[in-house]
Amino acid sequence: MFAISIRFAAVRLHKAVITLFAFRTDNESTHPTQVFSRTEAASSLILFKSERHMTSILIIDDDIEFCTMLRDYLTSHDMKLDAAHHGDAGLTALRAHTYDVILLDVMLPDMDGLEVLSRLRKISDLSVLLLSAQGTEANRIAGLDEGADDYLPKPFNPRELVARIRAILRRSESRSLGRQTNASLMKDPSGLVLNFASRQAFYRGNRLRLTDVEFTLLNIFLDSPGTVLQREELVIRVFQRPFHPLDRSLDMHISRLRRKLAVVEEFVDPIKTIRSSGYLFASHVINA
Amino acid sequence: MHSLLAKIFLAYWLAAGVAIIYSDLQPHKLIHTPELSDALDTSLAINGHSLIDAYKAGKCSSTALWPNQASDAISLVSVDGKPLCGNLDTSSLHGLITAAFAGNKRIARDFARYQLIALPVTANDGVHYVLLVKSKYTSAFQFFGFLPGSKTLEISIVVTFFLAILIVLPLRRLRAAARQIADGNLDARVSAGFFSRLLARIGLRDDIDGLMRDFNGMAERLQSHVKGQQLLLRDVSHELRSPLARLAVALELARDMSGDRSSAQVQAHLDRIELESVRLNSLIGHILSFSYIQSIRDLHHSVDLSLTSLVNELLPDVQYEAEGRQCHIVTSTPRDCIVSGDSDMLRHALENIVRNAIRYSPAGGTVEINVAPEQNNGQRSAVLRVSDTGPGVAEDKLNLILNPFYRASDVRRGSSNGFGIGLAIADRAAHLHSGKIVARNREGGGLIVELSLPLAAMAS
Repeated sequence: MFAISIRFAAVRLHKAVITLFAFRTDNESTHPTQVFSRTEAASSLILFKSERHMTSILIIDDDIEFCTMLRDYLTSHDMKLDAAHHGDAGLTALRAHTYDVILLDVMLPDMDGLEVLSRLRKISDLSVLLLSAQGTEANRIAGLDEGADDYLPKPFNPRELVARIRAILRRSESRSLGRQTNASLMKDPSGLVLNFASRQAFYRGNRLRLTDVEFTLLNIFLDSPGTVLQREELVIRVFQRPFHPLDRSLDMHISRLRRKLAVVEEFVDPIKTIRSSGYLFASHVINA
Repeated sequence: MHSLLAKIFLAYWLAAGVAIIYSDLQPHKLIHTPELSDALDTSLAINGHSLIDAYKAGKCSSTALWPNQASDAISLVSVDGKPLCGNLDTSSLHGLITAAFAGNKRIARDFARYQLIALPVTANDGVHYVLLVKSKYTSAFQFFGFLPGSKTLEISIVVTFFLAILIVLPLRRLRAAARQIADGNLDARVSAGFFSRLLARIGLRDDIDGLMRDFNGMAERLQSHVKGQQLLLRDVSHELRSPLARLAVALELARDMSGDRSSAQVQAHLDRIELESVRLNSLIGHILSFSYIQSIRDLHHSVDLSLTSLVNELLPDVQYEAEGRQCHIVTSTPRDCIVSGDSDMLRHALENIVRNAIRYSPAGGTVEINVAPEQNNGQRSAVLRVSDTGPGVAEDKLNLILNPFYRASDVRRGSSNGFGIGLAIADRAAHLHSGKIVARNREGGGLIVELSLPLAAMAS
């Protein structure tokens, strides 16, 4: 009921919402489509919010011309882009303004992009999309391991960039909305608590600093404990893009999430890897 | 003997030992100083006179006249060899007695375990006698630990061992550092050990210290070269891809601006720009991976891999590409093969081979991928065979297609003509895995590219 009322409000406020609903409204669909219907509410809220403030993005990239062109492109897609051309400048801008998404180039003149990322992670758990012209698998893994939400090799199609940014925003919104349930609080016998109102996660009383991807993953896990979640399904639900067998992003995020949980409780790993298919959240294991 | 330490130690110690034993062998013979010779003569003459006195007095049975050492013996004989007094058996010593008497001087005979000395002695009444002394060696021949020379040998053990250590330990450090560098750890440097530093402090630097310095200098240069090359690759990739990134954004801006009103022709041109920039980007990627794969010597992350699952992982991607060219892919993997290697590298190699096959397949053609273990000259290998139904390659040019940018025909018939660099990358990857790639023509047209790798195991 909650979701529906939001939808009505949004429709009334913004016609564009209709075009978004137009591409998927059936409810008796399989996994990939189900994702979209589940995220509808969240998506409509973004558009609703964009009435008040445009999506605000910070790009940290030393290529000035590239940033200028990208700003033009994103502006035409209702997104506002600020650019910083040095790592330091980027971190300063981050402290001064609030952004929804950060685009971070891996190669910067003053410091390594991964260094910027690790400093950034100390002050914020904002969603970071890494851009890299190196395009090596090692580079990608290092970036995701350092806490990036997603990775896009340069050159990329700007439409793809917009799609990725939208996916990030939807995750971010679902974090404060409680996508799976309408409750503002989600608890698990394992001691995990997701608070959608404050956008915070707790594990046995300790606050976890989670990125949106990790929060979304936990949300999905807590929603269906004890069931095997296929890797394909998880990728589609978390990243909202088709699964690719060579893409190890999901595994990188899960391993980061595991490490964060292990800081609180060292010897219990509630996330079980099911070989060659997916993951399983076993909440009963850590019933204290 | 593999240890230089043992070799040096034994060589030095043997040399020292032989010298000591040799000098120990000649204890009495080598009395060079006249004073010592006189003293010996005088001392023996006194012994002789005492024996003569005892003989004359008939007191030969007194053991007080015999030498202190039980192993030694002394006797007085007449010049014709008749034993008179003493405890030495002189029955076989006639030659010695005659010689000493004739020469009228001290004569010594050396035997393995003892020395015999004969000295003519003249009594106060003018009668000539000969004194015979048997003196047992306390010499090196009775081996270490039981002789006075053993102390010298013990000292020589310590000294030669120290000497060996001084030479061998720095060499071992050098060797360890060299091995690390060979394994790809270019940060490895050799540092002076405890003894070398101690010696360097008192100003004793030797050739080995110099060798270490030179080695470190060499490692430094090597590292900066390799780093330079890696940085160059990184920068080239950045410099080439940045304009492409700008191009992609500009293209999309142009598309947005031209909107729906623009003619289909404009759209087609824009699509062409996009297609060519995608090609350029993949070419850059290939060149970078080619220079990367050429720069490495060893595999760092070797794991066991199933060739079948490698093929299966690849299928969705290549199938998509095959559909674009209206050809289809057939796989046949009757028995899986496990090989050991770098998964990314092998996947890349496999992908290049399959893409190449797709590229040369005519519309409606078939690309077959086949994985099977094979026995060749007693060696079992995993063979991945990719065959297409394309035009094939002239027999004499078959092994040339593994060269980067080789063109089967000189005429550029379109952007897809030419083997590019994909097969060269695959070939290099195969070599790094101790395997090989062989290309041959298929009966009835088409090319077969075979990647064979050492078989690690066979899946059940």
